[in-house]
Amino acid sequence: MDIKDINIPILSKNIKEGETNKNIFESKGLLTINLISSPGSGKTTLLENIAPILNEQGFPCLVIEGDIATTRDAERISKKEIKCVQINTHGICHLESKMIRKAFEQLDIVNEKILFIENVGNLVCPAEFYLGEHEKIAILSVTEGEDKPEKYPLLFKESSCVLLTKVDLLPFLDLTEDIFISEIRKLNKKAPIFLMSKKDKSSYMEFIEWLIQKHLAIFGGER
Amino acid sequence: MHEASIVQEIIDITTEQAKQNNAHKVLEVEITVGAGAMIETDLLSGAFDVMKNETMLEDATLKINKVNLKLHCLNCDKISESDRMVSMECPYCHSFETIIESGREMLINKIIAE
Repeated sequence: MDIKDINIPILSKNIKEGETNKNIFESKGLLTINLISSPGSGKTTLLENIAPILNEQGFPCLVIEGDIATTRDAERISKKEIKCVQINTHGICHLESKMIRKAFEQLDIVNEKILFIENVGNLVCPAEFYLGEHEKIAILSVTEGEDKPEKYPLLFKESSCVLLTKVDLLPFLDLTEDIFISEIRKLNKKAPIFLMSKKDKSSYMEFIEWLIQKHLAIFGGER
Repeated sequence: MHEASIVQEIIDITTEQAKQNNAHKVLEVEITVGAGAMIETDLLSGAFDVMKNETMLEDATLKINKVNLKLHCLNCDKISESDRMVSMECPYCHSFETIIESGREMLINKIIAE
């Protein structure tokens, strides 16, 4: 027999599971952020630095860590007294909606307002899998080079915000922040681009404010 | 390199569809893969041949229809086509102000079963 013209999107189940995740996150008042970048761009360092500030500002966080192997990132985050659960994908290059739900169920939610999902370090595959997040954020460190947005265009085109990290290293490179910004702008005219460095904690503040405004826009309330 | 995840979804959806139609064996699955879907079709076929074992798709062949990526340039209004992932640059006017019109899809079109 022929079962014709069915035209079912192959990733439809993952999208459906992602929508279920989103409903759960919203019922708990959680703004959910999917952080995507190559390995070593500074995703964990970013979370180590911004989570304590968000906590002070009344927006405590939860973290789901995605890695192929080891619990090293989760250990780093837990040291900062942030609730965190680790997913080990054992070779899979991205996270999927079902993995997120299983991990999320292990988190004890009290009054947290932001859930960060640190995806597996990879600029290709994670961009293809919706997890139920409100915002997809691309992170690019200056040492990776200015050509990465053009080489991996989908992620940079679809991100609602781009973080340029390790900008304190720019003086050691033959590159300027303007070159990075114009390369990102080729693909994404609208997304805010935040420049940051762990050497200057104040460089995180604009991004933190952006996150808080996103939370207020969805869930209301005042600062 | 997420072809194995895609193959697992193909097997799950096809099995579900076949069961709904009271079939017990799948002979062929026909899919469409866009050039912008970030999928290597040779790897997909390889993964399918390994992963189909001990499922209803054990004797099935995977037929892959590739479709081009269509980029619409907002600057010159031209549409360009490519059979591979591109950098989003319009080949005519070199603007990056482009949108993907089609070619990111991954669909199961047809199942032949008995």
